[in-house]
Amino acid sequence: MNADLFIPRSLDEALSVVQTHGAGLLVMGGGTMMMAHINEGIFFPQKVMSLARAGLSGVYRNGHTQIGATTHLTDVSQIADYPILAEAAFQIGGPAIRNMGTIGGNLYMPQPAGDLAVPLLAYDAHVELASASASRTISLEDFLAEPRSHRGVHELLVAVHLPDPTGYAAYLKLGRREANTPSVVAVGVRVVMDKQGQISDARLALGAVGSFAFRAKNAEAALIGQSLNTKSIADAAQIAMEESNPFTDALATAWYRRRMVGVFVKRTLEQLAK
Amino acid sequence: MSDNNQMPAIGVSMKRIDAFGKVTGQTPYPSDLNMDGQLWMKMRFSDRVHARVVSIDTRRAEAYPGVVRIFTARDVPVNEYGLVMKDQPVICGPGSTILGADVVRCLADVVAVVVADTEENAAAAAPLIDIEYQDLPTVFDPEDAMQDGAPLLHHDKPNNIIVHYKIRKGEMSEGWAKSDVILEGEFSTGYQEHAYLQPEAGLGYIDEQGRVTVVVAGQWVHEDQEQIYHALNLPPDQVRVIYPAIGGAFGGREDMSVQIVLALAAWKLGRPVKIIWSREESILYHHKRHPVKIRAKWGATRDGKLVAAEATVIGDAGAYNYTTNKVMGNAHLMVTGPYEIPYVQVDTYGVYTNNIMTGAFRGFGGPQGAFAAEGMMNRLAEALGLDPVDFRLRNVIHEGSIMTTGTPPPPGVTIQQTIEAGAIESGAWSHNGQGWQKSITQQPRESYKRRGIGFACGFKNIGYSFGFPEQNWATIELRGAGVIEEVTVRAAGADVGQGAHTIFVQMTAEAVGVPVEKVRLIGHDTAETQTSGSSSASRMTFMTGNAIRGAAELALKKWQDEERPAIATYQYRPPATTTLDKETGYGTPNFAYGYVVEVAEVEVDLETGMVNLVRVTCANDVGKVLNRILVEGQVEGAVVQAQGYAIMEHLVSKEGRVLNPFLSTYLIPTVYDIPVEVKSVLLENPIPIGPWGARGMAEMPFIPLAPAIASAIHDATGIWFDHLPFIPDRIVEGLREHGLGAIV
Repeated sequence: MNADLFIPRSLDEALSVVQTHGAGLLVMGGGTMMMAHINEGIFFPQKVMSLARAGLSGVYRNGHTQIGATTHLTDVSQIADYPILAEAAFQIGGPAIRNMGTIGGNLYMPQPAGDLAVPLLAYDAHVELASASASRTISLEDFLAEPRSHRGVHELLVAVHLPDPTGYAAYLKLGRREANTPSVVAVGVRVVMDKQGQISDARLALGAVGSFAFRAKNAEAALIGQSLNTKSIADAAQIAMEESNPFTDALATAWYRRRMVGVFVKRTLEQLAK
Repeated sequence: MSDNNQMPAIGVSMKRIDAFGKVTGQTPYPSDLNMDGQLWMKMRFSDRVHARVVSIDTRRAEAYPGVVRIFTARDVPVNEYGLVMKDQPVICGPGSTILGADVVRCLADVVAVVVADTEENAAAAAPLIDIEYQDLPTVFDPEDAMQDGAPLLHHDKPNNIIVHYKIRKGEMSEGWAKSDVILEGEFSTGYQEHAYLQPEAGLGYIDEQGRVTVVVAGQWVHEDQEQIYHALNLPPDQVRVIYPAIGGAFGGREDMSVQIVLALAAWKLGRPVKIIWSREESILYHHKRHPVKIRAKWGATRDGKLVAAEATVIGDAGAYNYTTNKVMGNAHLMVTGPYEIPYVQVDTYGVYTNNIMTGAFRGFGGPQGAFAAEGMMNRLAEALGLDPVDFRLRNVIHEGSIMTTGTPPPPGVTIQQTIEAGAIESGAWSHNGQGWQKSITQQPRESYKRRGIGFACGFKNIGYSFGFPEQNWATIELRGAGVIEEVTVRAAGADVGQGAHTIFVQMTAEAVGVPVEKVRLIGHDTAETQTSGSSSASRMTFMTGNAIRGAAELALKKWQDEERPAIATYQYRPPATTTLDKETGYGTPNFAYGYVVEVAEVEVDLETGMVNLVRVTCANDVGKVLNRILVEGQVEGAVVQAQGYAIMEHLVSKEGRVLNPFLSTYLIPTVYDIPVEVKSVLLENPIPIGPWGARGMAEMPFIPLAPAIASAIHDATGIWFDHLPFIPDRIVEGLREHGLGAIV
């Protein structure tokens, strides 16, 4: 079996490959998930494009922060301005995976993989999508929720945009082992406090407990106007459990995942309360 | 026999003879070998868990580019195989020589074998084989399978029962009457995947002498050879099996995977044929550790003497026997532990189902038996208000004790010394005038975490049991003129990664009295060696050591008689064992035992149910330490493998289908998960029949760890967990039932 392999040397070149080949084209960032499937013989694509040399890597500051789609997880794990993004990247895979895997590819991973969406939702990230004829920037939340069928087959995710971070953030992931393991649950929170110590803005993102990573908006709303105390934390944890829509797989049951949402929302908020 | 001036060759941590080649990547494993003009093979496995194969249409696959030949059941001269019972077709389908070989009984059955010019073409053609099945009724729970009217997998095994072992020792009603405290328990254990580094692979070809040759990784070259020549109906000397380096085995390579079909293809095509299984194929198509259900009832007097024990043990064999009858035999002996119990009744069953087959895995039934035995011992100690160490010491076997089989254990009974050493060296127990006492466990600062320390012990046979023929051959050649300049030892025992070859060289040097540098080993090749039996049952050092000592003695005598070269061959046979009486279990099942104790310290997260194994002390009476670093490596490896078994590894099977056949979803411990310390306490109480007193030891440290962890979790939480593995879902569920754990 042979595949047509494209290794474009620029974004324009990449977009023109996408324009020509569209739906039948497998686009790879680092290939850490797709190559495993290909090597195991689970499927074999006819056309593959690697974005490794399309010039889409790098972290730029220009009023806000822009992270190129093929920036490696290792580099993402060193972005000091967004500590829980760095932390989440560091907890993915092992060094070899982080040296190959990319932020853009991670956002296409099916659950329970794709941890980076969790801190990125907490930081209000947007994603920039481009085609040969146009580009659009939408919130990560909308991107994740968007049914795959609605995504343009001629579009590429080219960058992640982040506003300057405000408030305090925390991130915790539960895996069945210490490293190199998919999430049972991943929780990212960020809260902004007013002068009275009350929460004026809150983001609470959950991963591995739904068909995609999402914001637990009822729990966020419940936190507004509260200080972080035992009761407000317990309430938010309870609401987040109710908002999650977990699944059963070989790693954990849905029953267990839902309970761990409660535990880890509590633990992340307790970290912020300290 | 050693020259007094010479450094001893045993008892030192000699560097492994295979170390340099392996760490530099030069040593070939089966998948690294290639030959000119070789073809590639892919196996087409069953799509159904239980069905009659009505027809196989290979036309579409044969038309695929590069396809050379497709083999089906019709092509196998004697279409059956199996290590103990030949109950499995090599290839399932119509037109077979064997009755019933047209039925697939699990998803690991093979329906066709494709040979093509490239691996890709073979893989692409395999799914194009059109197979018509006629589904048959299925059964997945061994207790259901034992019922009258359950679907029958093999017609010669009514109620799907492969074996039913009994122990009948004393009149049980008397035993219960004499007991002050009687406890009952129900235990279950899970599957375990061997997860060796190297998935199954091999190369078949016709060698320069015209022999059908298979290069593969296994555990017993001569048994692989026998399985092949039986199925191909060839004379034994027309089949040759060679093992290059073996990337781990743990029992998982005892049975056939690619051996017979590679030989078949090479023989029929006259060309080299190669196959490499993917990790997914490896997990889906080789056997697993037996899941076992155990119901137990034990009684003791108030002053802590065991009186009676009763158990029912049911093991899921899957669709074929593999080594089920032997594994369940071991579980049968070990389910009552290394204890003196006057009244015993045990019923042990191995049962066919349409699940993936189960078989040998380090410990071979011992871990399942010990999980229940030690679980009952720890509960009884608690119920009696006795320290678990004290309670055991009041009941352990000694020289001359009568075991459940009505006969004494083989000489060298040291469970008492092993328990005392393990308790003291763990630092968690101390002995004062009153008895044994456990220290208070230091608790972590976080309110949601608790630490606990647990205790368990066990025993395991060395070598084959129940009258299975046990032998081991070695040949030693001494070359030189005045002095011995070169020693060649021929010993077939498989070095599966444990370092057997290094030990063979050390033992040869010691037996002959030369430095190890003068010894050359000719290892696993049926054309060069005689049988050693398998690398299993903690037997290879013991058996080969005795064969080497015998061969060395004979060769040295010839050397003294000035024969040049001096060549001698010796067959070692240990004391005979017997089967167990069908009704009472009376017999002498084993010729040697090793004894082991483990103390485990765990930290339980009460909210997540995650159990962290912090520290393990393992006391193991190995008889004689022949190479300390290799022995400690076996202890540490066994502890980590048993940690995975107890806490992490969870093979999910639904209606005969394994749902997580990848190492990304079937999780085994990584370096971040293993204990911060594994303390190996090696006792050296020699046994008279051991080479230099050595006992086998490689399985023993696996056996008591799961019950030691259960005991530690109980110490931390006050709750007994009786179902392996201790995955966090189950722990959280158990904690919640007792009002512990998360507020939400």
